[in-house]
Amino acid sequence: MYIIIVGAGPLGVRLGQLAIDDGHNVVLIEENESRARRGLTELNAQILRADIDEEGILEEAKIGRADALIATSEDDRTNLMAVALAKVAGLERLIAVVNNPSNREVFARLEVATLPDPHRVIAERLFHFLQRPETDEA
Amino acid sequence: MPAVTRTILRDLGLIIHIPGAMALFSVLIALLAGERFAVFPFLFTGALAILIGQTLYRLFQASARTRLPHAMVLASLSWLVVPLLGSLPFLLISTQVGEGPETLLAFREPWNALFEAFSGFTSTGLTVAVSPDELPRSLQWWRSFMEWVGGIGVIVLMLIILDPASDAYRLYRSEGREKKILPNLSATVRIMGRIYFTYTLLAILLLRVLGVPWWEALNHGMTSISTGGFTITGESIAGYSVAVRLAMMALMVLGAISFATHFRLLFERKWLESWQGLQPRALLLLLIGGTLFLLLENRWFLEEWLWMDSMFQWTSALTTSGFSTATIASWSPTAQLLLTLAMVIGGSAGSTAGGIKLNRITVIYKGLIWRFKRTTSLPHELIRYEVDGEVLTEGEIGRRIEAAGILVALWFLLLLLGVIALLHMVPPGTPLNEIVFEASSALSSVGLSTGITAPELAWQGKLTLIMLMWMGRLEIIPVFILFTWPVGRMRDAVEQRMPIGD
Repeated sequence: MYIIIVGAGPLGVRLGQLAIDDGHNVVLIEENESRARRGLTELNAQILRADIDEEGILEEAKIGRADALIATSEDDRTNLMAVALAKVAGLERLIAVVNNPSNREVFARLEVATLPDPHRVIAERLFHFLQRPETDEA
Repeated sequence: MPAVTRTILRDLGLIIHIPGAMALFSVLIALLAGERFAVFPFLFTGALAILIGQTLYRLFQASARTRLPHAMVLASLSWLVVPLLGSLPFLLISTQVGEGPETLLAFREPWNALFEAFSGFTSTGLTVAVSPDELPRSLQWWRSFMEWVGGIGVIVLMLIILDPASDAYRLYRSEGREKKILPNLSATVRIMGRIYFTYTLLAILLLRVLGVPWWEALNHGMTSISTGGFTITGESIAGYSVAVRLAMMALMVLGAISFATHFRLLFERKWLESWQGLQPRALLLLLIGGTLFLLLENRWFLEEWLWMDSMFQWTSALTTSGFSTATIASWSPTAQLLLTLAMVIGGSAGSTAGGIKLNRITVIYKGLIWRFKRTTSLPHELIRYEVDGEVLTEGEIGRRIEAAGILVALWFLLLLLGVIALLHMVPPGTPLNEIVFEASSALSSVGLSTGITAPELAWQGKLTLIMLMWMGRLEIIPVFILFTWPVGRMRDAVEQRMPIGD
């Protein structure tokens, strides 16, 4: 598959690594220069440094060839913009992280598969360890 | 006297002990060889060196620690002063003997003695000895010994033996050996010394096993592992069997591989991984590719498949050793220029080889690739700068490419200046390609010759080649710093800087 990942933070980079290890092609879009550069040191992938609303950036990422777009930014506005633009461009498989649970509805309207409130997922997991210490994993 | 100058003189004093110790050790060789006339020259050289060394050291003992620009000035100065002392045995022995072969008597001319010593301590191998086999054994030994010590670097050797409190890493860096093997410097240097010594012993044994007489095996073992190139036979390596020539090639290649690679090979036993780096791969590629080119060129011009000679001369040029199995002057100008290219490139950084060195060649190659990538990349795409598995920032990569580019530019400038100077000093009618060849040979510490280096060469010509050998061995920049030293600006800047010891 050819996957566009928006955001090259810790999440985007790990996701990119998983996808590459699984044999997929990956391009990342990251607006922050230093994050983009750090992403390059960890990931052997194409990284575009640009705001998501910069004109033609999804075309530059070859959205016409893409099979999916995954928005991993910590800013819901960026993620929303990304999936909306991808939707307009005709891409069907859209996945996004929704940082603020109250934004979930907007994403749902756009038919985006979401992981709402990623911090809660982590928090639950941590709390789980507290309750059942014998099942601790590293 | 400024404090920086005092520090440099103190360290120079320490370094001068090395040729002193070398000369005293050589007394033993002279006695073993039964050459009594050589005893006094070596004793005198040794005593003089140690006297000067002790005087400088004791006068300025309390000076400050060594800093990087110190170390650069020191390295440049050392490679001037040490060969001066190293020329004494040639002068003294050739004047001590009343009668002798022409080759020996030529050293009564001080320029010849100086030339040989500079060629030795820079591990170049250009020689004014027409028939080295006619030299007394003590001088044959002295030539090999100079190359062997010069090969690993007088300064590094100094650190192995004495481990001074100065910031040794800086000294070591300014000597052009940048890659740290172990985090601790003095341990690194000791390991380098051990590797060098072991390889030398193995080289001598290997040559002996292949049928080379002991004395020749000893000398050629020492001059091959140091990528030096002095021989004690009349016809360089041409008289040896195919097996010996192949062995010599292997030894030269070993000498042109960086100590960091040797370390990984020997101590960490990463056989495959040691060859994955850019430098070893470039070395391998250049060895194979260049040999083929040279082979075809010789087939074209001489209408013969010179397998062994092409392979040997190319290896000898690229590793900057300088052994010969053929008369290069009889090869085509194109073949000579091909060999010149090999000499200019040289071996790995962190080895005993000279030349621009493969680390810079590979950086420039990578820079070229990135340059192309940038022109074809997407408007917002970032380029990934990866060198030997390490991703570098744009700033770091810029610095590396800049440093390599500047050195390459300086190298060719110096080569051109050397050629222009030599044009006035060689016999009229000498082809330009031979002059370019000889100048490159000197600048890259190689030692292959088309015949320009000879006792009859005008002293100005010898001086030009000496300057090229000296500046090339130090990779030019330390010499420039030495030249700017008396002007004072650099010196004052150093004075105000913090010591570099991190």
